[in-house]
Amino acid sequence: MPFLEQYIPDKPIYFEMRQQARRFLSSSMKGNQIASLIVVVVIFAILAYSFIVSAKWIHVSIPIFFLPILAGLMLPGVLSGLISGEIQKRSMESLMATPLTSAQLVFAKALRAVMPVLAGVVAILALIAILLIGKLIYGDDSQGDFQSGWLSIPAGIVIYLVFSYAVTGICMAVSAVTRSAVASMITTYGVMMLIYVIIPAIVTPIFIAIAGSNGNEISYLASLHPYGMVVLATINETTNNVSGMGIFALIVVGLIIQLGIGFLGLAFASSRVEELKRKGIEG
Amino acid sequence: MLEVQSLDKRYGQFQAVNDVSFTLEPGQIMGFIGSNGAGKTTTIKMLATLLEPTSGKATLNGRILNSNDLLVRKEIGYMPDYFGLYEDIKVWEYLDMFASLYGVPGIDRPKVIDEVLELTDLGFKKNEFAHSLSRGMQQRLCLARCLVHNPTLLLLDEPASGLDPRARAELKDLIGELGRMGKIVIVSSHILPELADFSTVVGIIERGKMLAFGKVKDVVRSLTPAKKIQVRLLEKGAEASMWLHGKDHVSATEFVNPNEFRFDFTGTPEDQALLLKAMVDGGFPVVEYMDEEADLEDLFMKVTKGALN
Repeated sequence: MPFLEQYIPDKPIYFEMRQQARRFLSSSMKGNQIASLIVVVVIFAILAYSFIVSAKWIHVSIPIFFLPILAGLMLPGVLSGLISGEIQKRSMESLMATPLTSAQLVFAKALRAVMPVLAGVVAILALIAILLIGKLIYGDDSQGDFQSGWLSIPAGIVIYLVFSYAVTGICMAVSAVTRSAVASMITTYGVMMLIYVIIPAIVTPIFIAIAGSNGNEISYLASLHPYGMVVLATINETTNNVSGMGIFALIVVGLIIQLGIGFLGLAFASSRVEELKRKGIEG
Repeated sequence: MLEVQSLDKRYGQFQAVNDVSFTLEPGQIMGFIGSNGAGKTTTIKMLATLLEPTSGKATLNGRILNSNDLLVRKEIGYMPDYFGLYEDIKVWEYLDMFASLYGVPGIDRPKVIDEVLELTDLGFKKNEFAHSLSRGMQQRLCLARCLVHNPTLLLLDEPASGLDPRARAELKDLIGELGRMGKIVIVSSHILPELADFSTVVGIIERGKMLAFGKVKDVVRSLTPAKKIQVRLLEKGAEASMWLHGKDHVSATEFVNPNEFRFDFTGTPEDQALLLKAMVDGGFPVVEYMDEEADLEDLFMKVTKGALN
């Protein structure tokens, strides 16, 4: 039995995770998976090379800024088809006929996100390590307006994990109401664009017009957005007039909102699967 | 024991299933016959707890089959009329997944998987990717998946669709074997001669209503009160036909060739023997005089034409 598989509980809801671990550890990947892996390795190699040659001017917290982008771009591709794809290829009925509850079914599928998200953390920590090696070679001239990296790195990772949970909830909710994996992925990116780009782009100028642009209010607004939270955790300038506890409180509020989005998304997906069970997939 | 009592399913004004009732004992295999849209799949889905009935209920060994009772699903193996397989999963992994979902302990799963693969004759494909199997093998894999948790009730919706004759024959043997293992099996199919071979009981559904249910011979007898008798003569075919016209219990004469014809007969076996004697005494050289038993196909054709309404 593969090493990692022993540490994933033998429960139905962890099956997707076990399957991924088994596939990864046995190296029995197929064409498109190998292609994806090559793309990821090439991107990582380019970033690593750029970081090592520019290490003198790049602050150690910079890789943290990639994390929300990583979650936002990667997870819809991984998760979007998990319910809609099953409906599309007509394998959903067989799953719904098992003794799993709708919530267990949705949760088990959502756990597919765990391995890619953890892989993201490992990749970012590896980039930070490469950056530190570069600094040892070329020196360091990058402090600027950045907070201490030793606090912003764990903070950024926590924000990333919570944001990933929110994105997972959105993906599962959209997947439960669409009928094909492609439609689901496009819709998910659209919904995320609405929530995390369009609405903030509309609300922020209005907020600044009302509250003024030089107050701490903009920090409060930033705390509602995952990227804003990363900025709060990383750059001094945005939080000049907010105390350390204030920053902490703002980030906690932002995290609670993201957790709420994730929970609502998963709950909605569960209720939708329950409805499919009662009315039938064609109904 | 499976008891289905007055099962109804209504979609708005459309009555998909109308007051369907029947009972099946362990070891019985029910051939479920009906044209497209007759209500077979809807009935099977309600029994699989995948659709709530509008009214009525079904119980399996006293336990009501409904979507709220998750444990009752461990007693059911459901094979949909069409199913998709995952692209990146091997045969044994597919079975392992469903065994896990049905709560088969991890320590027992390898043995269970080997057993169902042997039963479905797929052992040699254990490490192949599921989607690379032929259609017949995929059907057998789906059946194997239905068996991993050793269910009491098997619901097989059109399991033979898309299979070549050889694969259909293998499936037929397999379903017969499941009946001998004491499982209650409901099989819907359009391949009627094969259903008749292994079904111990048959249910005919049309426009949501169960028109007939019982042992195959009983159903045939109850739905076709007139038996067909085929007569072959050396000569005088036309005269014999004229002679029969107007005789008691005889109707609907139909020629196969000039000296061979068949007719409907509603009398007793004694009447049938007397009629033969009268024909021979009347100077007609009868070579063959035999019953033509109606089969499921005849019944199905009649039902789908509404002839039995």
